[in-house]
Amino acid sequence: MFPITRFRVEDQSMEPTLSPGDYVLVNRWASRFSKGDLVVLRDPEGASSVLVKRVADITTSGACFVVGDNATASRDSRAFGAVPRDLIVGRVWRQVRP
Amino acid sequence: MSVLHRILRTLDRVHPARIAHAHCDIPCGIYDPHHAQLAAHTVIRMIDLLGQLEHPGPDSPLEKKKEFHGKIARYTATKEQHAELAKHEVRILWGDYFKPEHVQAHPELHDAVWKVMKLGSKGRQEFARKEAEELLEAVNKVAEIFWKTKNVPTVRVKPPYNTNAETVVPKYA
Repeated sequence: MFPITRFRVEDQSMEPTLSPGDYVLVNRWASRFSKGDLVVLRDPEGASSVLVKRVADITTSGACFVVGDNATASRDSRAFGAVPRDLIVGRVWRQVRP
Repeated sequence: MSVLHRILRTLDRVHPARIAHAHCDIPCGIYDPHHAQLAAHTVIRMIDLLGQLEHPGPDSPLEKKKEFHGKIARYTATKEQHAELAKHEVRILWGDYFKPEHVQAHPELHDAVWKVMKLGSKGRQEFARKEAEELLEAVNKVAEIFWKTKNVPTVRVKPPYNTNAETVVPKYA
């Protein structure tokens, strides 16, 4: 599998870092995550949907606690809990603004 | 427009990129305690109207008796609906709008919401103006916290509703 894949951003929970219409290039081979990383993950609440959030913490079991930068308008780990490693698609390598 | 963004957009026409949602609660940010406040005022008004009804007496014509009982039924139904509506609207704010950081900044929120639930049920069961006023006050408290989280100052006014009771309104610049 080629490591880099692209996603287009929708919705506002990552404002002001990411805005709707931005692209993110994601490294799918990333395996170690740390606080502050932007990650793309499969939605724990809706299998077919993909989310982009920031890692706020890593639990002892290796799961990522993710939060939107626009915290008051974000649905994230505060609602659905820490995200297990196998739901993380990869780490944002580059973001591309218009 | 950056060159890379243009290339990616062109690429989208051939093979669309997957969407990464920066998920937000839908509807994004459309919340207002006003509906709950109106509902609480309505409960007070219905209790006043019920109190003003005059019993037609045993010898009054059937029409008068029908009117009396019809009005009792209407005012009571409306009182109950709006007491429930006040609870419903506050539940939406509490469940969907307020976030953990709001509660941290305003730890009195949970108690205010809990009071609305209890007094809303009282508003359905009882016919006491005092309890309906307490319901409105609890809703006003939630409204004050709501506007504080929006950094919008509030003021207490007496709106022209026939309830002679105060309501908290935002003071937009």
